[in-house]
Amino acid sequence: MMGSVRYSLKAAGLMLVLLGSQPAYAGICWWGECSEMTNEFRTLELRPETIALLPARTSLTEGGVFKSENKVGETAGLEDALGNYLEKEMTKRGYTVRRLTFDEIGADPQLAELLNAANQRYDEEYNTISTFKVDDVKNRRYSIDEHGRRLAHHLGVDAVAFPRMQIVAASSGSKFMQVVGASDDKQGGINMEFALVHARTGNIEALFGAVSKSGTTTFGGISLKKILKKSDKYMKKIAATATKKMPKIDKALKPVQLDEDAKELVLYDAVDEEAVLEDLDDLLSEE
Amino acid sequence: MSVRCSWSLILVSIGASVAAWGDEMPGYQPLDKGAKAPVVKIARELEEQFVRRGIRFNDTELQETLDRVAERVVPVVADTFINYRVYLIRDPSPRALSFADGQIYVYTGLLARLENEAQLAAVLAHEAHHVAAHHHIEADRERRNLASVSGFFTFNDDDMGFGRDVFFEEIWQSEFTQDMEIAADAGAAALIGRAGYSSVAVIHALANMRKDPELTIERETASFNSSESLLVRQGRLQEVVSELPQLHVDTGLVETRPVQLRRVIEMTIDDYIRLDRPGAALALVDSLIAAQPDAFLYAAKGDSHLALGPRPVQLQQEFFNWYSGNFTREELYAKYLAMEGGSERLDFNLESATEAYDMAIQVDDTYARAYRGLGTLYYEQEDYRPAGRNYLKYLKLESDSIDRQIVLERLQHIKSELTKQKEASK
Repeated sequence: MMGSVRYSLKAAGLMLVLLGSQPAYAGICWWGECSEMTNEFRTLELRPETIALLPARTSLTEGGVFKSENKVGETAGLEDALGNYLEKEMTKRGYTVRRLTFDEIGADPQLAELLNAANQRYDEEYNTISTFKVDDVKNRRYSIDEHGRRLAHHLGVDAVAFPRMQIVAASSGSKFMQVVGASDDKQGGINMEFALVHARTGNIEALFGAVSKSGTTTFGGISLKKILKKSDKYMKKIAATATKKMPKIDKALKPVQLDEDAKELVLYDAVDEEAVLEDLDDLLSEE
Repeated sequence: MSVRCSWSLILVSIGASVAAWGDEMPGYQPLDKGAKAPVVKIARELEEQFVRRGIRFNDTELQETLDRVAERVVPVVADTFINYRVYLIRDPSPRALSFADGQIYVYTGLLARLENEAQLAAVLAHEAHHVAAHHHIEADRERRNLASVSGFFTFNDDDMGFGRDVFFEEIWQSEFTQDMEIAADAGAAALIGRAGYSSVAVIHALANMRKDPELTIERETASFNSSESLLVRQGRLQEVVSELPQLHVDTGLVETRPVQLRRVIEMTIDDYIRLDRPGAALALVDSLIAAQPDAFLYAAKGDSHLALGPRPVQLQQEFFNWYSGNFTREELYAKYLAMEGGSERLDFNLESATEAYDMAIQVDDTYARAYRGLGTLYYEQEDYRPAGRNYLKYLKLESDSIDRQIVLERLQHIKSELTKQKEASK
């Protein structure tokens, strides 16, 4: 009974692979570069000047014809390289970047706690965004609420960047299948996005991403060996592509007034504690 | 082939269980070239990543307990690539996992649910059996044979791991077959029996894993592997364990580490609330509050009811399938409210939350969290005067709280609303 189920599963799997429908990505961007921003991000009202760049969360898979192999140890170098280039690109655009390392996080239990909570909440939203609803970033649909704001306050920044990266390397078998035309799925590529969560709203105010799909550069996909050998080149390219439409900080420009639609948006300004608490007791005791 | 192997494992394990009180224990055969198995290599890499990413939860005293219990129950194996070591992971899910090279991880959410040391021994022995019987390696071979199918399971988002990373998917790809789980349950009964614990603790540990009204584990089991449900496993194990003499129930875990264990329990309840699993949080609170009615549990009960709002505690599987990944929390709230009985549930939960916060204050009128909860409850209902009073009290009691800025912002809003009301009434 069990055996027959397994053989059926094998057969079903084989058929789907031959149909070329094995999924390679679960990311947000599907081709080239993608960027989504709220109107207030675009018009400077909610454009951050200081950004905390979190370590990228990366999955690396060698996708073959009949098997997919996850690589774990190899991700560390790729994450570091991506962080370097994202920091460079953001700095080039005028942002002040505070890059967080795993060591720094590990040494600060409160930061680790806040970061874990924010990351979890972000993952929850990411799951929704990745279901083809990236467009709604501009409608300010996604929020990580207080978790993002607490983290940003703790770090003393205007926004926090949450990078996520999925890399699929093609095995020689899958490349062969493409060459002989048995599969049109050009496995192998890099998909990276980072969202910016603003300290004043706790919302995802912008999302930038890029896909380096193998078929555009190498017939039959990029091999794991090649990705690892040229990791610096790939990370540089993916960071540059993702930030292509990230607007620059121009301190000479003044924020525009919020339009009518945005006036309902709850924006939290720095609070003058004394002013808030003054006379509040009296006000509260009145009935 | 693999099915035959697995059944032989069951027979070995059950046989061993029955003979557990003699000198003979299940003989775990070493595996030729086991060290070269891909899962052994990946296990080493995962260990490095867990350290790098701070996924392990470090607590010296709890670690001592884990090490002590593990030492008593793990079997002796001849495989040189197996070196048993036990760690904690910060995650409220009631689960444990192991890797082929002997790493065993107990989630804080499971530890929070265990009632005694024998149940911890059962969990560790279950995982140790998986390792000693080379289940990871066998499951990985199976997966490779079925790899064209397993490729579809690449991105599993159901896990709620604290500090979870996408590389966790590697772990879930090595899910065991039901034969392996049965063998590990039976093996665990034998191993803990030999160590002097009551074998029935294996059944109790499984029962505790099921104490989650949102049934996260059950849903995952049904979705991602061929294992039987925990309930079925419990039933099967009953037959094996009933053959064995039962010893005393060891309560050592609770008696020797009350403070550390309490911290893990509180953390788990808070993690559940944060992860939008208020039903699970409430169940855990309710299981403890009668024996220990303190301010934390009452305030946590209030937080759970507040987070539940209009949602039913138990959601139907179809609803999970439907909403998963399609709606944000805010949108789901509106959907729960629109469901039949939504507004009644909201009223009930708000009332229950208020009662629970009041009880917390009754037990300890300096317990800041209860005031914050009440502040939020009234603030969300736009009842600004009591919201302001409670928030003010919270700030006075918790002057260096991490969310001071957020509470001040709300007070600013409250002030502006009350000023408007005052002016309007003139």
